[in-house]
Amino acid sequence: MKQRKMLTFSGQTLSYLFLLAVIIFAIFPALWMFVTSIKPHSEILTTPPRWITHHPTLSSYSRVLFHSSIPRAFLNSVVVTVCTTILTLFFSILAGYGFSRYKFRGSRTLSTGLLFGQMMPGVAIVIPLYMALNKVHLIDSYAALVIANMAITIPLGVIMLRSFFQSVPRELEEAAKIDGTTNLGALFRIILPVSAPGIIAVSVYTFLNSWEEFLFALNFTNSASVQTLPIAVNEFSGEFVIDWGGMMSASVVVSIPVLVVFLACSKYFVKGLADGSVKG
Amino acid sequence: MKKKIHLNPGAMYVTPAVIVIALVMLFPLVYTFYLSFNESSLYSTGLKFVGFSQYVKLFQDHLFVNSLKATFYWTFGSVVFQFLLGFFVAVVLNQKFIRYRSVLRIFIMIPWVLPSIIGVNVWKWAYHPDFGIINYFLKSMGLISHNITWLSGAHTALLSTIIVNVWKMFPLVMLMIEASLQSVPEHLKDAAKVDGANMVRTFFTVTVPHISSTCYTIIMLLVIWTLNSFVFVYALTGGGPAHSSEVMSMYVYKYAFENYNFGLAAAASVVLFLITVVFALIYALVTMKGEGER
Repeated sequence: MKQRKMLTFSGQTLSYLFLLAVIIFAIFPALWMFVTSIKPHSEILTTPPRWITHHPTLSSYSRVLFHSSIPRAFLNSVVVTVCTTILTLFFSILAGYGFSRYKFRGSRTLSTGLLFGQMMPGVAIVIPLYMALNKVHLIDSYAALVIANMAITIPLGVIMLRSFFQSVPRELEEAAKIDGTTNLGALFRIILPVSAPGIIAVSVYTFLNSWEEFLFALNFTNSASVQTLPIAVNEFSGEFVIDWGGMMSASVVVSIPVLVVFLACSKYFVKGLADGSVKG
Repeated sequence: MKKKIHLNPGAMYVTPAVIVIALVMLFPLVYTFYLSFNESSLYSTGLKFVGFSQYVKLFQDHLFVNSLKATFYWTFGSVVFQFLLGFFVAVVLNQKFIRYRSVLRIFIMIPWVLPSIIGVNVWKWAYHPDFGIINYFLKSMGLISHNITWLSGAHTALLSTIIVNVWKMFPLVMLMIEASLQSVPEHLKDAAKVDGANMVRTFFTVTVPHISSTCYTIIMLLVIWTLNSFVFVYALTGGGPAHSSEVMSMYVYKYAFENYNFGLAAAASVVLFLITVVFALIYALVTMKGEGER
């Protein structure tokens, strides 16, 4: 009996040790990023590297905030991300509702198509998108990025909301319709309020996705007035020298909004994502 | 006389999204196919139809054949370790006695939440041969005697990139496995216990069969995502050294946006797309089968 207890005890210890190791693996880059960002310039390139610094400074941050393209890129990222999120929500709410409540000719084909759309490679569409955007003179504009982002965000948005709306009982709408509300009215007044967790999940997913989008931003923009954060951060690496302190502080600046949103919404997001991606 | 058009309301709700997707996804895809049968360059306006010759050129290019191989190693290595690590973490985290599970989960999710390019740049800094924390750590543990040039060594570049990809994606695998672990009915596990099965046995006879279709789905998704990922290789190694980590997405990028050879790049992305489709079809089959059983 005692031996059995010892066995479970060591099993538990092992489990916790394993999780500890995994957590260290998961967060050490974020910690190292932070430590580097507050080191004075003279301490960054030292051998051996120091785990901590005794002279923390904000000089890298002031370089990033006052002498780099990061503030402007931050604004650009906010514009692109907000537009992408609003448009994605608009299209996915309507389509998700349509798929969850009605059967029509081609509805099955279309929703299978969405499943595939969710997996389509950015690389496969980047060349023609570039040529098309070039033709309509949208290269190097916010619109180019928002349009391209939607190709990635709408399919999963529709899939997630469809499965969410399916779990909302039809009786709720029926009651509203008897009271004289239109279909669209029922969607906005009855369904959306009870689907808030699903809406939040899609918004957070879209936000994360367009905030970090790299391939389109790299190829469809070239001036500082439109470039988003992922591109601007990369500019701290020059041809031969990389300003590691600046790059790490810029990275912290880029990461903070993401971490805040994730921590605030993790409850909805974790569930919505697991449902959406596994059930398809 | 006004003719009343009768439209199914469902179709009306769906139409706006379908139009957008047709414009930004379907049309570009079709156009990529079309481009791959043409010759285009920066200096000539318009396209010239050349049949399959881009594909012939493609498979005669040893760099393309090399990128096929690199893509295979990249995808295989990434997916195996992403899945195993994610799976194992999910199983350990889901044991009954684990406390503060949601806090632990949030810590583990951080790599996935951080923007890819940020993770990539921090790893690049950590991999730095002279000032990087990884070489320092390994040396102080006595595991290596001299600094390793992780990202610029022909034998380590792809491996180092795979590690970053595993770091980024295993949290998502964990999350999805956890969701399906929680869907295993308790009474089945209890029944197994009553029949005298121990924990390990219960796991393999009850839990694993129950979540296996989810596992296949996850693996297929990982394959598709990894085949098409771009930012890791682009920002960590740029495909180098000596093309040793030049995966197909990198090859497409180089030919399209550095050499402006859109026709050849389109042909390469069609090949990549077709490989993706094979896995997407397997994914669809697995998912539908899973739905049929439910």
